[in-house]
Amino acid sequence: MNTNEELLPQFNLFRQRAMMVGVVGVAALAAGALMSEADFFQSYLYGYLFWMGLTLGCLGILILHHLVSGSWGHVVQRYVESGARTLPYMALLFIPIIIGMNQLYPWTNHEGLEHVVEKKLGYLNVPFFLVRQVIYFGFWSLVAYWLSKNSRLQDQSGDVHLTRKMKIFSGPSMVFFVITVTLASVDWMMSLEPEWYSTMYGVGRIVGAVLTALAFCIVLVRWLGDKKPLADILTTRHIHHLGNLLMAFTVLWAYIAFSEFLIIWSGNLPEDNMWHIRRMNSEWSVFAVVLIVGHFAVPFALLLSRGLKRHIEPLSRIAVGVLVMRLVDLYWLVYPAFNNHELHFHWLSLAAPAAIGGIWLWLFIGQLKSQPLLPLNDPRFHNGMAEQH
Amino acid sequence: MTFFVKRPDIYGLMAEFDAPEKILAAAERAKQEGYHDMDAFTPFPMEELTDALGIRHSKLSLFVLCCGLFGMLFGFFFQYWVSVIDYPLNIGGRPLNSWPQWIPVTFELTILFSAFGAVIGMIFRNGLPRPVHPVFNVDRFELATKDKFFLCIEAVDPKFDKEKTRKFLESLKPDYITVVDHVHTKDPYHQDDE
Repeated sequence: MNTNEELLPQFNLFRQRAMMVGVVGVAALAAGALMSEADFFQSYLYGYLFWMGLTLGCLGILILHHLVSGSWGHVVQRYVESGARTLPYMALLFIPIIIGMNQLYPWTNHEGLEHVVEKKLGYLNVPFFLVRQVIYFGFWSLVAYWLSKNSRLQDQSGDVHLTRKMKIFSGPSMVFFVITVTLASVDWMMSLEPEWYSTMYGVGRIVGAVLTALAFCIVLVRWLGDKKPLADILTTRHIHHLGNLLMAFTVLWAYIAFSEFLIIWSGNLPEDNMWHIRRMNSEWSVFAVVLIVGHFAVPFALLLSRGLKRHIEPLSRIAVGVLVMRLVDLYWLVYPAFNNHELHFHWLSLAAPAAIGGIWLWLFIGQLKSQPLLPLNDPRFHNGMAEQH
Repeated sequence: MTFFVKRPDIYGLMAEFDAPEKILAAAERAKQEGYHDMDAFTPFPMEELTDALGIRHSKLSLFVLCCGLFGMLFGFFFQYWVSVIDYPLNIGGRPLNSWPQWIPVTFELTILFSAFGAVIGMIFRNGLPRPVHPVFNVDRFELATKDKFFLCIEAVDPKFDKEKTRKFLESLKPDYITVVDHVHTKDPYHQDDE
């Protein structure tokens, strides 16, 4: 079953290192938690949201791939499957956020709430919040495991009907995926400032998550692309497709972030505009400028070039830049909710992504090495190859 | 003065193949031989031919980029001129230079100018409008839309020599070699199918 014996030593080495980072990070987090509970929970939420975004982005790409089955999808299918298969473990890692809910989410304390927030307590209350988390993680894990289980079955049997089965399953899954991730982004992030709302919030976070996952996949293709079995099938066209997608999602991210801002800015209503005022009429505006330049202008200008999109070396460097910018973006989304006007930096906000990242990558490589790196018996896989004559 | 170079007395030499791999190999060989001014005609698009023919990166994308940048600057500063300089209006106490409001139009004009630049630039760089092309003077050329593959080396190529080029094409083992004239002629001297 396992076709990547040659890669096993590399995978195991990487896994060891990830575990080390994870253990050191968790120790640092524990120390930080003893020093300042508030900083611990805020940083933990931040770190968790980054890696959860990557996980959900993987799941989104996986569902999308089964729906549209482009040739690029086969190259990254096993990466996104492995990423999505970490979902049950991510549910466990969500527990500290539930413990810290009282410190993170103002709506959990029923005193001194604004009138508008009191009206929202029918949705924003702890029991219903917990029920929703069970539904989200249950549904996501089900989709991830069902799709990857069938794909693994097909690896052995080569049964063509499984492809059709997965495709039919993916249509409704995509609808529920978008709905659940939108609601989850409201629960986890938007309700940090419960008096504020934006209907574009959810789609912005979905695009951010998929962008994270795409950049992550491109970095993996850079790592594994010159080794068997990927080296046998990887062509410039695959890389070009991935580069185009990275560019499309970079533009989409900017489009959504700007549209949201433009609508709120031109309305300029006091109940809508405080979210942006907190982030743009304060010291946090530094982040806004960094994001416009680093998250949109620079990668967009670079990705206009056909040459950069067709070579994995420069493309993977851009992808690393995008991953860094994803961290900056999340920082700007999360932290101003706790620190309205002043820039805030605590060393725990480095330790938390590192700790969760170490654990996540350890889990991820564990999933990745347990299966062939390419879905070799997928009938569309060969069509995708034949397309190049 | 390239404008007054004498037109070669024929357009070029054309070789006919019956399989995509053959024309791909032939184009590759011709590129290695040093020919630049050549073109291939196939019944379906073959992306690899672009590389095999050694077609260099088109300057069109640079032109489109310039058009796009011009459209962006024009779009932005036209709105600035209207709202701030030419006809300043106080709308709800908002600043005259309300630039976020102009971004959508700026974006649209960037796309519009790029698209115009791409279409018009493509037409001119392709030498269009052009009612007729000499390759159609070859009677068998209509098979390029059915099942045959043609490679045409043009006489304007510096390496082109009627005899040597013909010898070279023969070494590629095509099904036919045909002289492409500037005007349609039934002259049997030129239609010398092998």
